[in-house]
Amino acid sequence: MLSFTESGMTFGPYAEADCFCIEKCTTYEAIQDGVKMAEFLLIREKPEEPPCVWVVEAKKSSPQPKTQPEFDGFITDIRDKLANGLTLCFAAVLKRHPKTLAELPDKYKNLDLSQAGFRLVLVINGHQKAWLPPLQDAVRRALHATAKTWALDPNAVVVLNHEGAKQFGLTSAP
Amino acid sequence: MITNIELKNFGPLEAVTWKKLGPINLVIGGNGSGKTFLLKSLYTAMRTLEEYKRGDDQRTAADILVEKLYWTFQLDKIGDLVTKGASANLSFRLWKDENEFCYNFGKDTAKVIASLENHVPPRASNSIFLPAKEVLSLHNIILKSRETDKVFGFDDTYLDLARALRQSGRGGRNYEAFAKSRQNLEAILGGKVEYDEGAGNWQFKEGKYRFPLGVTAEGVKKIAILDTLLSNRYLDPESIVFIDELESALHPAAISKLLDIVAVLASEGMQFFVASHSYFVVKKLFLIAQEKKMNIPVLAGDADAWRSADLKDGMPDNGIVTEAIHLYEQEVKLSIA
Repeated sequence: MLSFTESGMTFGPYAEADCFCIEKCTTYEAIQDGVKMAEFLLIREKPEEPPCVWVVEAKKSSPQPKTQPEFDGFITDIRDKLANGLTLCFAAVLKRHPKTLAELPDKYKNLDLSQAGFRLVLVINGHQKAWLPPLQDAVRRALHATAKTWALDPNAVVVLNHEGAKQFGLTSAP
Repeated sequence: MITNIELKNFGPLEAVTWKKLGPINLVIGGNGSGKTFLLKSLYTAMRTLEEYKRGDDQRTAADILVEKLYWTFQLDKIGDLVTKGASANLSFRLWKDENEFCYNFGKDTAKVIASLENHVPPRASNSIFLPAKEVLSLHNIILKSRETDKVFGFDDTYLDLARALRQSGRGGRNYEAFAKSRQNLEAILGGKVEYDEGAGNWQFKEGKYRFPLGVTAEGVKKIAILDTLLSNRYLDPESIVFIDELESALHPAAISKLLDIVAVLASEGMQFFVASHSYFVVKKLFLIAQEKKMNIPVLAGDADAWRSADLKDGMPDNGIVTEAIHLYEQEVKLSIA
C-alpha cells in the first residue's frame, strides 16, 4: 500500500497498482521545464462502471476572490496543473514517452481511455467549507475548455478541503 | 443613525434585539421570517419622528404613529399587530443617536397609543422605504388609490415613495457623493428616467431618444428610483433608506454595482437597512465589509430565532450560505461519491 504526505495531508493508503505519482516520475523529470504538473493519478473503481482516473492536486491554502490578481494567478496555476496532469495521463497510457512504461502501474497500461472516467480534483488543506462553492465554480470555469475538449463529465472538476478529502477516502489525516 | 432596536410581540417578530447598528445593516432570512415586517416597523417609527413637529403639523407623535401603522400594515385595528397568542403587549424601542423612542400597546388598541415616549429631537431629513416592486409604472395608480379613493392596497411605503418621487428638484450643487453616485447609477441604467409633466408619466431617456417606461426593464425602474431621490434631494446625508429585497429584478452584476453605491452613500452618513435572501447580496456586503474594514451588522432569522452577527467578522452562519454549501455538496456527490 502507498501513503505519502502532501500539503500537510496524508494521502492514501492506496493500492500501488492504483496510484501513479506523476509529479515525481522519471517521465515528468524529463519534461518538467516550463510544465506544471498535478501531484498524482489515482484509479477509483466501482462495480459495473468503467474505472475512473482522478487527477489530484493538493494545496495548503488559496487566496480569496477579493484579492483578484493573486486569485486569478492561483486559478491559472491550478488549471495548468490539472490539465497537464490529464494530458500526461493520456500520453503515458498511449506510450508516448518510452521511459514511462517501466514505471507505469499495469492497471494504467490496460486502461481503456475511450471508456474511462476522469475527475480533476483540487484538495486544499484548511480551507473553510463556505469558501469552497465559489472556488469550485472558478476552477470549473477555468477548466471548461479542457473538460469539453476531452468530453469529460460536466461534474468532472471537484474542489475539496481536508474534510472532504477524508470523507471521500483520499486522505487518512488530518 | 439608528443605533439599537428592541421589538417584542410585533407580528411575526416575537423577540428581536439588535445592537450596535452601522451605516449599512443587513436583514436576512427565509420567506415569511418577518424581514419586511421588521423594516416596515423601523420605517413607521422613523417617519413618525420625521413628521412630528414638521412645519405647522400639530399632531402628536402618537397620532402620527397610529396613522402610519394603520396605513403601512393595513389592518382593521393596530392591535392586530400584536403577536397572536402573546400574553404581553407589543413593545417597540429604538435608539436614534442614543436618544430613545419607544411605545407599546395591547391587542385591543384601535386608535389610541397610550404609552409612547419620545426623546429624539425633531428631524428635517427624510427616510424612505424602497419596496421589492418598482413603483414608477404604478405611480399615478398609487396616488389615486390612496389620495382620492383612500383604500387599502398600496401601503404607506408605496404612497410615501410615490410622493417623494414627484418632489421637484432643488437648484444648486448636489452633495458631491450624491452627484458621483448618480453618475454611477446612470451608468448602470444606460440613461435617465424622467417625469414628463406634459404627458403625465415617467419616461426613459437614452441620449436624445425617449421611451415609454413600460418598455424598460424592472431593474432599470428600480435603480431609477434611487437616482431620482438623490437628484430631487428628497434624500440627504442624514436620511435612512430601507430597501426590501434589494436583489429583486436585478442581475448579480447590477446588485454588486448598486451595493458599491450604497457603500459610498453610507460613508457620507446615510444609513441603510437592506432585507434580502440573496447569496449575492450577502457575499457582496461581506466583501465591502472586508475591503473597507467596515462593520456591517447582520440579523439572520432562521428556525424561529433571530441572531445578530457582523459581516466584518465573516460570512454569517445562515440558511442562504448553508444552501450554497448544500448545492456544492450535491455537486461533489454527483461527481465523486
